[in-house]
Amino acid sequence: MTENRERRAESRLDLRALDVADDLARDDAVIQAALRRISTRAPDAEWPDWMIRAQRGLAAAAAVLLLLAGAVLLTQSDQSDPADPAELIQHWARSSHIPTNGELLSAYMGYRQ
Amino acid sequence: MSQSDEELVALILGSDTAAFEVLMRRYFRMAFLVAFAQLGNREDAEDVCQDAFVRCWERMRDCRDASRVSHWIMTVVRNTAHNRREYLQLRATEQLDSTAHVTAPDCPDRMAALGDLRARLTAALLSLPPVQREVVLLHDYEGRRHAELARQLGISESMSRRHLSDARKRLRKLLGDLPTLEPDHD
Repeated sequence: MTENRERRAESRLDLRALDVADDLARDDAVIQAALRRISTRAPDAEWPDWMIRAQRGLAAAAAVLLLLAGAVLLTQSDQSDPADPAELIQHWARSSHIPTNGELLSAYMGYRQ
Repeated sequence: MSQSDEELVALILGSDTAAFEVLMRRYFRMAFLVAFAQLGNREDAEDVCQDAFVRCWERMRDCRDASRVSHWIMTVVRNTAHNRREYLQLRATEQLDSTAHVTAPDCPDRMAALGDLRARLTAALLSLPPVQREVVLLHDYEGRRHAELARQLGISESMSRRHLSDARKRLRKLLGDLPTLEPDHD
């Protein structure tokens, strides 16, 4: 009896009462409706090759510009005026720079130009 | 000779609607049952299939592995059906909600009616986890084999067997006198 119950538990269920019977006419109606809808639109296209190539070129140019900008910033920061007034005056002397009134005020009194 | 899925996908990517029709017909039945497993209603499942196949057409490039296009289609169908179900629940018009609990048979005559059995069966089916619904429908109703289910649903064969066994136990517990078909095909 236990064996029968186990066998029954593993046997296929009769689900034919469900409303899912194969109905070719209905299936075909759904497929035709989908086809009518897709006939007016193409699958999503990938970007054209020329646009992808242009993108790559632009990305490379942007990278080069970034590198240049970084280099310029680094160079400028190397050449920037020292913060200590004594060093600043030595720096002006070495570079034969005649300081303006503003630069002098900034160096000695903490004013910003 | 019928074209492979990969060949069809390549043609579809070139906007070949005839190839897409072949693919749709090849997987429509399974897609319909996957949608029905989510919704429990024929009309809603058909609507979902239509929407899902249109979406598949539009997004075919998203299918990264053409050899597994059927699995991808079922995922699109399942997601579309899930969204539809949520929408229907929000609107509180889903007829299945009213039958989402299995009631004890109180009238033998009514029980004999196919409509009543259908309602009870549908309600019991919807009480299962979604993956169990799909497996039991595709295996016990449609006669598909576990190897095929595993491939199409993206699960292992052993998990497919496990889901089927659990689904059968649950349905028998809920419905008791549910008839069986002999023998099991797989």
